[in-house]
Amino acid sequence: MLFNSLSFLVFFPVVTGLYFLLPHKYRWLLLLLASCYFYMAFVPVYILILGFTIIVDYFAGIYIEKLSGKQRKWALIASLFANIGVLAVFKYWNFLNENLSLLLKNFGTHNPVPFLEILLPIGLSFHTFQAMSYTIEVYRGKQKAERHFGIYALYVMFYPQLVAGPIERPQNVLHQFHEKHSFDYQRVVEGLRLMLWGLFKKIVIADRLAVYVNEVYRHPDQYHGITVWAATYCFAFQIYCDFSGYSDIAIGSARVMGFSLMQNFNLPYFATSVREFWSRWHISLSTWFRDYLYIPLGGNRRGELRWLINLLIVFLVSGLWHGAKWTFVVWGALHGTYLIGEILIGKIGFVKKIRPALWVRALRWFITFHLVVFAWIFFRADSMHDALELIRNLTQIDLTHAGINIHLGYGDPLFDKIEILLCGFMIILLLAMNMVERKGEIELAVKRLRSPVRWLIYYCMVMMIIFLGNYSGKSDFIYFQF
Amino acid sequence: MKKLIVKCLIFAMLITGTAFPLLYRLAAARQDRFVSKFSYKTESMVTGSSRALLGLNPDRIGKSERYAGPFLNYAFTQVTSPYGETYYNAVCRKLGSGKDQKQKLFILEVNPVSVSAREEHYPEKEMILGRLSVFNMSPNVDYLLSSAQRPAYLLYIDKGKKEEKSATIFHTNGWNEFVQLPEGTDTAKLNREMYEAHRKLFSEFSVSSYRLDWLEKTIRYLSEHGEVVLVRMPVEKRMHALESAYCPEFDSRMEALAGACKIRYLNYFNTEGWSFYDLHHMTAESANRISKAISDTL
Repeated sequence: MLFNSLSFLVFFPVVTGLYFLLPHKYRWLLLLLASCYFYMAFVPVYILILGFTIIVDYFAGIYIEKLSGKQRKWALIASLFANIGVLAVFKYWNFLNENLSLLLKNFGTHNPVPFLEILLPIGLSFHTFQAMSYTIEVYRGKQKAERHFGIYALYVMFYPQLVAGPIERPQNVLHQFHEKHSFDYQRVVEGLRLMLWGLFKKIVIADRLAVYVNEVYRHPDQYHGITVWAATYCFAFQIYCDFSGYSDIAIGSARVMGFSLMQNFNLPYFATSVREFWSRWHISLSTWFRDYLYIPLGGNRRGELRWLINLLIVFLVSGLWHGAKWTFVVWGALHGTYLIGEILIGKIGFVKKIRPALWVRALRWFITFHLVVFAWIFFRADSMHDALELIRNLTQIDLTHAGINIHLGYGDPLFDKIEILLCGFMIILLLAMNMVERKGEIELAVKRLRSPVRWLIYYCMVMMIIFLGNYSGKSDFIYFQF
Repeated sequence: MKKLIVKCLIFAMLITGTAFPLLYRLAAARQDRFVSKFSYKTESMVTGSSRALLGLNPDRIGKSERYAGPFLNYAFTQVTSPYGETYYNAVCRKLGSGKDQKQKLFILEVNPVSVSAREEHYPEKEMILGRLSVFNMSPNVDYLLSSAQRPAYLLYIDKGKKEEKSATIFHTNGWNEFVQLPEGTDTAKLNREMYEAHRKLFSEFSVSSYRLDWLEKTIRYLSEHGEVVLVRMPVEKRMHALESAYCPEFDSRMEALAGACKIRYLNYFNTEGWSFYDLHHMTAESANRISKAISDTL
């Protein structure tokens, strides 16, 4: 079930209403059943995979706590093996097999290993990482094993964050399922407001930019110069609005019921370094990799060379987490290289002495933004060939025909022009909202407004969602494919 | 909580009261080849590809008034409505409650493409039948937004505009009646391109057990509600040669399926004397004639 669907429009108020009407002791059951229904709306049979990992991790947590010595370690290994094993089979089998085929072909042999014809279970990468963080934290002694099977299942399956995060930690979320959450008018309104903003970002901005981006990225040989530049910038904002929009709806819907989920985005395009970008973009994933891969590898505590290698490993794995394609690996490698470059440049004598004047910060922002945008080309492109072709075409600017030259398929060239202008306007609107958000003043600004003004804003947003939304194309959230 | 519920209801009424009249007007003004198919529930229907969309006129088939009405042509195109889970669900959502005491009739047009697929790829799930939530509404706002290929505000600028370059009349019974090709159409080129497209298709597709299974499920479901008949439409001789080479055993498969489901299979594939404006879509005269022939046979 998608957040931007009619079914969710019915599902959410019904579940929320029942949640507040039911006595506290039955609420976990309602949420668990609702989450099962939510997940099974995609491919019902895949709930069995989710069920398998939940059972393994539930018992692993208990055994890790009960046992000692090597037995604790084996229980943890069993849990990690089950989770990573499921991920490996469903997500990476065919990718690895394809590369094995290519390798064997070079040696003149045929690959006997069969390919699997299976769909990737939705949200697999998210809920397996969330489940792994539980058993790791129990092993580290930072989290008590959850004895209530239903509550543990709900921790993994909680529908607001089940298919695309935020990837939560047990310390943050598990206890909340035991606590009673009463109806709080202000909190519910804040949650609904966040959901509305998330829907607006997804339907009005992201899906609109997607039409332009898809046209260019599906036909990389047909577009050059400014048209490709515009598509590249548009994708940067499309993926931000799509993913942060989803996170806002997830966090908002949880907040309505009294649950507090972690922030997943913090104005990432205002970052003035790649390191800062990763403290603002998909925060739940970057902190997961920091705590469960980077630090166990040694972090920056094993010498400089090892530090840099650790960073590269983390970003390569992060790229692979996003998808079983070389384009994602290259995207990850680019970010790893950027970070390494930043560290090394930061050690240069004169660079250390540069004062953080405004022009310096502006330059750093400009460079960071464009490094990130460049890497997005690989993230979005359908293949390495397409990515390289688009990069080549970026440089082919014909000044005699400057301007955006594209057919968006709206049936009339005038409509195409209107939509391109609207894309630009939406990006400006988003940046303006982000500027206000940056000062931490959005909630305060909204509360200061008189009630009729607030209603007018909500009304305009909903009308824009209805009349400016593009409902004819496929409108899955981008991160669903991960 | 009561305060919030009241405010939400007032807000919802505000939105419904302003947005939906605008959307309704847009939906009512919309004229395209499929809009009538999503306006009402039906008792009898024709299903299948564009051969049935243009080739079967429900008013001629149900002329004897033996059959329960309304009688809707619920066929689309090769890509939109091949037999499968998506089309099955769309058919189920279409059937009425059966207040008419007359026998219901279901004509299922079949051809090798409607039961074929490329490497278990079923793109119809992403198309209109897979996206729609509301199948029976007049005017259908969901269809308007899902099919329009543009946001509603652009439709408002463009409202009432007919689908351009249409060679057909869109009847309310769902039948698309061929009138004439747009002026200046090079029919030889059209036929060449169609031939090449089908030749390429037949080289990439194969008969799909998934589609055959769902065809059988569709037959069995509809058999619980009325009389089901499989029909294979005639085609122009070049298409006849292509299809016969692609799937020579198609007729025997359909006969076996019809036998197993205890229904009739009317095979017009090898008959002659029909006229087409391209390699497989009938002219209005032939469409009415074959519809009457089916009615007479039944």
